[in-house]
Amino acid sequence: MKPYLTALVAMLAALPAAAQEALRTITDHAGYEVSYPAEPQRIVSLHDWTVTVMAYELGANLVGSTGRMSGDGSYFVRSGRELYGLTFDDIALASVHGQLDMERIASLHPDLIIGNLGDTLEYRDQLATIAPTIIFDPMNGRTAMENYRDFAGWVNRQETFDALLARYRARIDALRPEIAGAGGHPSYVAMLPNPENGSIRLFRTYGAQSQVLEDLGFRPLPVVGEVPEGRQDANFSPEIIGQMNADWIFTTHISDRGEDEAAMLAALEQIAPGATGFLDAVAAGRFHSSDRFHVYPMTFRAMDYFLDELAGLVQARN
Amino acid sequence: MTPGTTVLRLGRVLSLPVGRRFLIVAPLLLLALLASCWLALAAGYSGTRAADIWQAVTLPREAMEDPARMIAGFRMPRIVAAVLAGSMMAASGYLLQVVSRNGLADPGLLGLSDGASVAVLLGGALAGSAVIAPPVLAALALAGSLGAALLVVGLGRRMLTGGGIILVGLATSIFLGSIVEIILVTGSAMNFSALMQWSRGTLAAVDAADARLLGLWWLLLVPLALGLGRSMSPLLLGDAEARALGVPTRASVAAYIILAAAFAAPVVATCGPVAFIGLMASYVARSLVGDRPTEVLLAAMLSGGLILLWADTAGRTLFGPVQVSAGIMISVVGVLVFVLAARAGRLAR
Repeated sequence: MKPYLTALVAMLAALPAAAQEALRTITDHAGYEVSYPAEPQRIVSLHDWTVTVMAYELGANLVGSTGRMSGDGSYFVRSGRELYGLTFDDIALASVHGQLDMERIASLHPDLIIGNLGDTLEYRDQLATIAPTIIFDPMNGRTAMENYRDFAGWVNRQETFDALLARYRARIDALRPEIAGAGGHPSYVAMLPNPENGSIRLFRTYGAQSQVLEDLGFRPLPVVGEVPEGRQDANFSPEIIGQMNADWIFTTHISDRGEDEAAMLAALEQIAPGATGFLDAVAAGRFHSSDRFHVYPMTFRAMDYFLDELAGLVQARN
Repeated sequence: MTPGTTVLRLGRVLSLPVGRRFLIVAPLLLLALLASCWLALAAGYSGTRAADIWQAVTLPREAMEDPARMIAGFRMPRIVAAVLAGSMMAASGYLLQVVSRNGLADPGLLGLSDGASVAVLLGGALAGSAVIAPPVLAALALAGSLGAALLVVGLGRRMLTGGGIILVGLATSIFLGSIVEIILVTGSAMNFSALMQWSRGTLAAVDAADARLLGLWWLLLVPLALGLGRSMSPLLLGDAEARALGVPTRASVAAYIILAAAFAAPVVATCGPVAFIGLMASYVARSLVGDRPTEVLLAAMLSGGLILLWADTAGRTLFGPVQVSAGIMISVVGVLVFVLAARAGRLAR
């Protein structure tokens, strides 16, 4: 009898430990300690072009996402549609971006909710009553790759992340001499002309785009240091154009709005007349605009897309 | 006895003249409010049975089934908050209308919303990259709103009577609005996306704690407003007439302005600036019950609760999955009411 009792006691003692093993506890980017299933089965993302695309790329168990309304009234996953062909036939619409419907989210029976700090923090208390809720902050001052690595750990996909990272690094190593040049560390600035308020937005980081550039050895112009520490971007007067004479100038546009590189150049000329004549990068054909939905998300597919663009540009110049 | 009034008596203790229209209208408004609450409880993304609502209203959370828990967790706090916030904005608006003797006055004129926005943004700037917890944000908004009201009273202390205070309020509002713009222009759009959402006036993020906060303020302020109500009628007659009747006009006006700010501040803190309710509810109330200030105040509070409840319920259910904020819904109707009120005022002159 005694051995059976001992075994029973040992089993009972082991139960809580087993239950604990099934849980993961992390501190999210908003500083909350969150406990949730180690292998979440029903993840709902509340931010499409950061959280959703990362979760999808890593093969996490994504069941729903917020989406945006297109011109024809249908809903789409920003960047998920462009990079992966992801639609709301594949996953459920959890809410419209920025307009969270708690009942709709709860109806998806999530075991983990992941939101973006800027949009989700004020709803966190409500969301936490539905399921454990993690806040992701893509603009916390760390590199996009570090944040993506955090995210992969949260959704238990470190191995997938490491494999994708190794493949990406091999590609960077292969393309660096061709794109950045033999000796070099070309200078660059990532910016966005904003004709609506007559300002120029400079980016310290811009998702996949700036990650690829830095990995290739591009160096940001000193003027980028004007962006406050810990911030992704800041708006400046067009007078700053005098400090923007980099080897390369990168910007982004939204194709859905009919924008393209020529439109972005025209916008720059509108807020800073004469800029296109003054900037060497424009004359040298090194002013480049990418589709924003393709190059902002911090995923390996987005980085591949931008690498392809750069390689194409360099080949065309040669 | 004034024509159209009835005296409510309770032995020798109470003898209260009440307008007959008020005696009919007030219970009807209350019934409409209760019926609207029931309808709002039944409206949402998931289908709802009467039994679910009954469970949500009567059972403790742990004894509820899922649909009832959904109602109790998400719809009920929002509905309670809508009714309380609507009635408080209405009270705030009507008190300002009494002070300024202007039927178009509204809490927005005191710069309360802009004061709250400035406080929240400055708090964000001081915190740097640290995240400010939502309750702290609410407290900041509250301090900003009350601070703006005190600033207006301080700057306009020589113009407390005669409606000049409204001009000071407008100037303060424009000044604070400019500070908000400066901060927004210098910041990252993403950093302030939550603020932009809040600035439209929404109950989407309201939870039970917010509803409790509003409830506490409501319980504190409504007796004060009713207690001060005796001097409202003389104030409406004009400064000289009020003073002749023994009302200390400067002190009364200052007290009403601070009371109006205190009514609006917790609403701005929890729901953001919800414009036009003060104007709309007072206009509706005057149309329904006449001009007795205390009766108009009570009818306006009931109307304000109804207006915000319907605006929020319509915004969250009519256009799904799109959620339209209550502030936007009210603004659309509010502009029409504003024009009507202005037109009615012109005709009356």
